[in-house]
Amino acid sequence: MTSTDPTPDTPLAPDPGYVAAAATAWVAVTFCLSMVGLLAVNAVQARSHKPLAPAQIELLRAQLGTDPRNDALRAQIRDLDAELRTGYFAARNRAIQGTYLLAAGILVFLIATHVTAKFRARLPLPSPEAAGRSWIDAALGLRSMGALGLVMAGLLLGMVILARHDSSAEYIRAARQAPGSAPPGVGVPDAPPGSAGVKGLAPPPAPAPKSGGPVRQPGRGAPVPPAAAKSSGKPPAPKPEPTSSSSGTSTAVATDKPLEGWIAFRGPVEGVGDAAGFLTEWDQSGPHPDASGDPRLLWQTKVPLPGHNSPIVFGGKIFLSGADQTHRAVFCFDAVTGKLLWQKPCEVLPGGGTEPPKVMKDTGYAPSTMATDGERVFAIFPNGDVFAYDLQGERKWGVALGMPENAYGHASSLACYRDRVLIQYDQGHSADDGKSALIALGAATGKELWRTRRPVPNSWSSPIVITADGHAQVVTTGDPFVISYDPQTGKELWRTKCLMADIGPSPCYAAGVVYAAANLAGLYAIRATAASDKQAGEVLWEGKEGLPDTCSPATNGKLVFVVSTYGSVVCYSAADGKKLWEEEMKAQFQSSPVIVGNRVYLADTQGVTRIFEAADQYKPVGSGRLGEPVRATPAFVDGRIYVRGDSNLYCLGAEKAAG
Amino acid sequence: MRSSLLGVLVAIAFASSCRAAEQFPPPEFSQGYHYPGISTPAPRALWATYVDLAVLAATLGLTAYVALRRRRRRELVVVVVFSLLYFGFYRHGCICSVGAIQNVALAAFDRTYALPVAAAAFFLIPLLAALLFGRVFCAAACPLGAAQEVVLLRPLKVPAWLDRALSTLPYVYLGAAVLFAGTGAAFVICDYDPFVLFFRLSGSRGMLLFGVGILLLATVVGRPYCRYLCPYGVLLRWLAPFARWQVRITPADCVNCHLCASACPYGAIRAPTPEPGAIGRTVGRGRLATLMLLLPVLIVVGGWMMSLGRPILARVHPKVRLANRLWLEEQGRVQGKTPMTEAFERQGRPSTDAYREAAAVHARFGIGSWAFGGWLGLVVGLRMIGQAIRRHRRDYDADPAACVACARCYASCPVEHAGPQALAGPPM
Repeated sequence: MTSTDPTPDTPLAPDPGYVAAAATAWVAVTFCLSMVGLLAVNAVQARSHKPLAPAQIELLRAQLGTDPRNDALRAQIRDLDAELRTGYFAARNRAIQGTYLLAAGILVFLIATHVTAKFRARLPLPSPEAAGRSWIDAALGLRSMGALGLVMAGLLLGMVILARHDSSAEYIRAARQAPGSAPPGVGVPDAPPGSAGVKGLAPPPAPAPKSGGPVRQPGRGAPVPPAAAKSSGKPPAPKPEPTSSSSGTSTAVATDKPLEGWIAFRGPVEGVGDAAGFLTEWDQSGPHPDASGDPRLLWQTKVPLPGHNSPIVFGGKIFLSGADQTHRAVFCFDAVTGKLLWQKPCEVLPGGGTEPPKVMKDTGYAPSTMATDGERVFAIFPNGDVFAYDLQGERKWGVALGMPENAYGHASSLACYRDRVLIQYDQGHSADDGKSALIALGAATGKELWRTRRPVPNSWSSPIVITADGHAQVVTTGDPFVISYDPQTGKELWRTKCLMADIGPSPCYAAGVVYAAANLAGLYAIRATAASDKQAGEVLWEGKEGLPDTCSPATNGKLVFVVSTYGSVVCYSAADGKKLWEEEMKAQFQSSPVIVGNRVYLADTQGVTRIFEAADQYKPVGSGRLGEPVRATPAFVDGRIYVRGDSNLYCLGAEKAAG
Repeated sequence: MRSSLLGVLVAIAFASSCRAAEQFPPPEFSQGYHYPGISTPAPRALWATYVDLAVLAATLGLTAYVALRRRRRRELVVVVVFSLLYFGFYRHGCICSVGAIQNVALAAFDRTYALPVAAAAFFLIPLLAALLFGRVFCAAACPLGAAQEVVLLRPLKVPAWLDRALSTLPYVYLGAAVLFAGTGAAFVICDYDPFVLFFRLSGSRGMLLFGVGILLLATVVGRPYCRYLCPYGVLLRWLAPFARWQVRITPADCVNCHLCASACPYGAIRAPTPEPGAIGRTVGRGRLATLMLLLPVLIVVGGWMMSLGRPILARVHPKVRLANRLWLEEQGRVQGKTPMTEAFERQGRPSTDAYREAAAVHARFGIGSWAFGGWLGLVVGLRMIGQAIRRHRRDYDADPAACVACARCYASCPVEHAGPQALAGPPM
């Protein structure tokens, strides 16, 4: 390369302007280099205040795990955390200020350098021989182009060689073969060995027509017999469907009269009125003087498959579902003896996906609590398969809603209203996806009665059916709305925009007010009067403390309790939202609180149920200990408490109530 | 002074690194704290977009007036600094005409993509200006060119043979940008914009090094990005020779002093060429015929080889990268999961979904890779043919395809200094 500004033969006399510009340039560059040094030092210091990798905090946290009641250690962690964050932001602010100072220095340097160059600028000299070089340049240019072509060919050859070792052809082939293969089913523990499917377990044989209920593909098609769907892989032509009014719905479910029992997630919406007869103390966590254990433990039964769904109780039977990656089933236990009365495998329905759903560990493969209308029990699994069984275990129908797009796995529980099952089927990463819906299926047939689109992304809360001003409403929560629907038609009655982000807690209701909570939004008391009331959906008050991300709030109409996952329990006044008390339980919770009469029962993940008064002051009443973690919400029926642990189902009650 | 400059640019590297934003989990507040709501910035108002377009049009007009009519370098520098401040630091280098190529390409190949008005206008207006005034966009309206213009301190002349080889790279970049944008894989021009991180004071470490490297080079080599990488410059090169008003070095007859060519830091001034002899003509014709016969071969071979390398090209697409990784994880060929595969699994979708989507992307790359490879063969062949064609020139003149109308050559021309009588003929 040659300079276009030839150096003059004789040195120029120093010009004051040149000297000043050159000096300014040197000062600027010195300043810039100093700033670089300071920024480098700052960057090194910032590393020691990095909240991303707080090794010391992790160490202290580990110690706190072994000694959870050590308040001094807890305070030390908080102080250290605050110190790290303060240091981090201080270093960041210094870096920002330093960058601007450096930019100013560079600007001065550039200006001074250009001024300096002006003082030394010289017109270029003529170069008569340049014109004669044009042909030489052209010839060299042709060769250089040829060389470039060869380099590019070499790079292409390298790409070709690399492409031969690329794995894309393998998975593309696998993807092409996938649709033609039988859908890998989810078997059951006692499925016949040797059949195809995931890990050698195939879907169970198609139920006989007598016992097999209809199965429906995703969407709005009519249910079809599972045998036909299995044999052809396609649903047969839709057949006339009995209407819900002619489907033989019992009078018990055709009215709004609540069923006796614990018929859905968290039991009756209005709560259990009488606490008398329910235990406030038990201990099954360790060796007991009595060889058979705590006598207050009436029975204990192992549940064949895991699941975080809660037990429901009706007609002397307990129903729950369980699943792992390859098996899933519905179970029925005798409420008196704990004996497993029946278990029914739930195979993957056509349209239910070819792979097990991807779920979080905390969600599991059976997170949704079942529901009953008094004649049938209903279960839903994370791949969108819905099943109905009668109380004797005969399959009535199965419907595949299609694999939902749910970040953690579909976990919303079912609710029943009269002759229909209500499914909050929220999915998609954004409300704009338009995939979320509230769906009503006919309880007797599985036929879709209505489907209302919901303007929310995926959520994990469950719908509740309330009666406000004599009219039934289905109240749902999702980001960012609390929305009420008419359960008969699916028509939206009112909505309130107050929530945000991932919505796990379900709403609760008492005395014309719905309480909805989310940890990034707040606790909101919302007027839930009839749709004709223009004030329906009005926010009465909001609370900002102890907000839950998993546990649902509970209310008795006077008090509202919210439980954060990390152990904070806050009691609000239902009338005005005033915080009455807060208690750090020093435990983790995934189970929701239940108000039974004047007591609140709250089970933690270590299997300890904390019982305290539903009062305007925190007054512990007792505690119950089991030997295993509890994540489901217990059921309270006829003086018995049914608790599902990670592996076992427990029944706790006084001897006299054992019957 | 050069070492000082080096230090300053290294300083920029440190500074930008320190400003890089980091994310970390929020504190685990025990109680009493209300998290602020998630806020998303509102889209840029439509009127502001129109203001940007008006500023672009006005800048182009002013540049044309100053460069072609006023012929004042100093005034042009003022416009350069304005563009750097407005389109660079104020608008953060976005949207720019260079990147708008990708929006146009995506709109051309993806019917579901609605081309934003601003992108279309930023793409078209400088091209229209090039048809009228030549590369006035490069002269002062482009913030990328402006950034290089202000740091050029001691320009060195790049040897012509090297310049001609390197100036093929923008064609490659253009082809790649269209391919990746058209297939929805990536906007590589934006992803590898070496200046945008200075405009935004934020960016990755790799891009920082790339940007600092380009700026360091730009202190001694005039506009290395514009000449050897910019894909939009390719389009301007095509249109500028047809401009109604072009840069004329001398306002009157050229005296063949070569001073202008020495003053041009971009090698955009063509020297006079002597008449080739009879032997030279014969050799030249034979070479030209050979190259013209070679052209279709280069196109076919380029397309064929690129189609064989399609899986490597397709890896630029995030769906293909996801499928590749999922497959390797499923096959146990790699250990652990990446955030990308974890996020996919949380969606609860089967991995065959990812494979099918990747297969669709591969199919799109099937046609695209043939076109891209053929394009490369065409470019190399045509540029070799261009070198083999001998044109006779009597005077020094500005190559309208390469000239960025920087107005440096005017001051070097003795005819320019000859007085008003020499400037009787208007340059426009």
